[in-house]
Amino acid sequence: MEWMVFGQQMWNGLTNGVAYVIFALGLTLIFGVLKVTNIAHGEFFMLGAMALVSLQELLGMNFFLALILSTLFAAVLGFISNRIAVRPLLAASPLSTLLSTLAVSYILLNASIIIWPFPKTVKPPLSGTLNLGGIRITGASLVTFGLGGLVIAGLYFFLTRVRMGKEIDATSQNMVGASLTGINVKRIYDLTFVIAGALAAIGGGLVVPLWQANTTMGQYVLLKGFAIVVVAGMGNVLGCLWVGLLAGIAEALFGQYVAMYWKEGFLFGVMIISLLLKPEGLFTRR
Amino acid sequence: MVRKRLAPIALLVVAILLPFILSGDYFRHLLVMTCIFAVLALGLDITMGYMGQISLGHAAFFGIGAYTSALLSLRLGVSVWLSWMAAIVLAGILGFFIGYISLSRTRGVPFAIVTFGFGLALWLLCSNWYDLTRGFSGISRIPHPVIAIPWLTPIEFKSPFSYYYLVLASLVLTIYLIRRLLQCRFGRAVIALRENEGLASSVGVDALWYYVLAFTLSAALAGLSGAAFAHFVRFITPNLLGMEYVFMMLIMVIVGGKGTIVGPVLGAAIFVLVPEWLRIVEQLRPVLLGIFFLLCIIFLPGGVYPGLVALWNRAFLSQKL
Repeated sequence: MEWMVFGQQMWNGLTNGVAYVIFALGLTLIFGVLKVTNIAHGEFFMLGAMALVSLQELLGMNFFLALILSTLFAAVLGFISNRIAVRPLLAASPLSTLLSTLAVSYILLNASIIIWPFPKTVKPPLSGTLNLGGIRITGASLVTFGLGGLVIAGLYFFLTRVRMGKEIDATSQNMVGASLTGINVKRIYDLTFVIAGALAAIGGGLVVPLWQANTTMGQYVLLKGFAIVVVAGMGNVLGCLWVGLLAGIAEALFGQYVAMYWKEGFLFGVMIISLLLKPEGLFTRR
Repeated sequence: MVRKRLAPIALLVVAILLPFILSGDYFRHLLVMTCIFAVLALGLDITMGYMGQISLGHAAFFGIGAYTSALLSLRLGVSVWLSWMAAIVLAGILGFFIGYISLSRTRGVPFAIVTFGFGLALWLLCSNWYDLTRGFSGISRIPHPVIAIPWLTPIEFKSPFSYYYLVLASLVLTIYLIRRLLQCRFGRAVIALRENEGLASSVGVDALWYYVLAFTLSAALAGLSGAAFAHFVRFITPNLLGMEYVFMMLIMVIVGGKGTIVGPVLGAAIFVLVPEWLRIVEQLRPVLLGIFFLLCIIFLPGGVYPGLVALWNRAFLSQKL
């Protein structure tokens, strides 16, 4: 029996980890490319989830179609946030964009509380449960894992093989160098925010069938996203993947075997220790 | 020069007379909240304005101050004045350790994130340690401060009217303390570090020591404000340590004008009063406040107070020159 609990927690942690990775990838992209700490990222995640729930509830839309639409919605939101709150302040200190995205986060959060005062649940996109030697794998978690994995792989392909993605990578490595080779850096900034917004919304949409959707979920996930991004090294995309998956698993095991109530704090403890031991991130080579 | 010395005294007289001018408990209540939050904003401004760092965990010091004072006076029957002191000291000690740990390795954005992490940890502690804090049920019926004078009826700081003078006194003390510190070696060292840490260190300013001391003071003032809040509102929940309050005090400092004395006080007044005028659109209040904050960051990065000073100078001083 003991190992089945362990396996179950491993699976739960892994599916959560996939969602964390997708969320944190957007955060780390924005940090790497624009050197901006986007506090509003958690709200993109939450809005993606809430928009999906509403589309499904009010229009009776299919889960996957609703996911695509809510992703587009968050992408547009990312673009607007960049133009209003980030672009005018890029020349100022990085702390002023931290504050302006905090303001955006506060506006979005409080507007959402008016629109969605109550927590929501949806019916899972894939019903039925797989029983793998005692480990219950629900259809919903399978969708999260599979679709999430596809999105991560797609992003990796985009950043390493597609010209536009490579331009993002180049800008992240050296902004001046990139602009000297003729890359329109301002357009790359817009693009980064669009992709990051979309990623956050996909992450949010994928966890809706697993968790309950409510307006505070963005703040929780933001804290975890920070932890992952900081441990991986801010701007490090590959590190983010491994740390995110590990974080999901470690958190689930911690909740099972150490202390349920302190689960939320666990990742933060790891983050603080890592930041103090190696401020540039554990996965960054000097 | 004479006018410069008279201005604070005139302001103090106005502040003392205000509860008589604005009668009614409602306005006096707002005045008390303004003073409490002004102390909080002045405390955070030491970190933001003078150290040039952003602390996203300051609500934790505010909340710890409130809990310390409330629990000591309620559960152990300690005199309210002593429990206020304990709140200041405990918030200061926590500030010292958190400041020492985070400032020894980080500045800027990583510092903001580490303080965010510590704030969250303390918030979790407060919401999960049910036996001590009663979690989200909160703590209610926190006693009022009382001054017992032999053979006379004790003075009870119960009404907003009397409590106002109590918090006004702490605000004046806070302002005096910060003014004095700014003029001495300590203040100049901290500001020098903000301007150029490498240069300041190279001429012998111990960066970590001054930064940690300034952060400790910043946390202790938040603790004082928390204690004053707890004994006035008389009901506290772990929300005091949460994001809502972090955001609130950032608004007060940034909108008012960081790095000044008047700025954070003005910011606190704006924060307390403006939402009251917006009562007609009750639900939209936080959204409008957020938009106002965003506009301030983009168009008035120095804050309202320096903007007003610039306007005043343009209107009245340019003609003389």
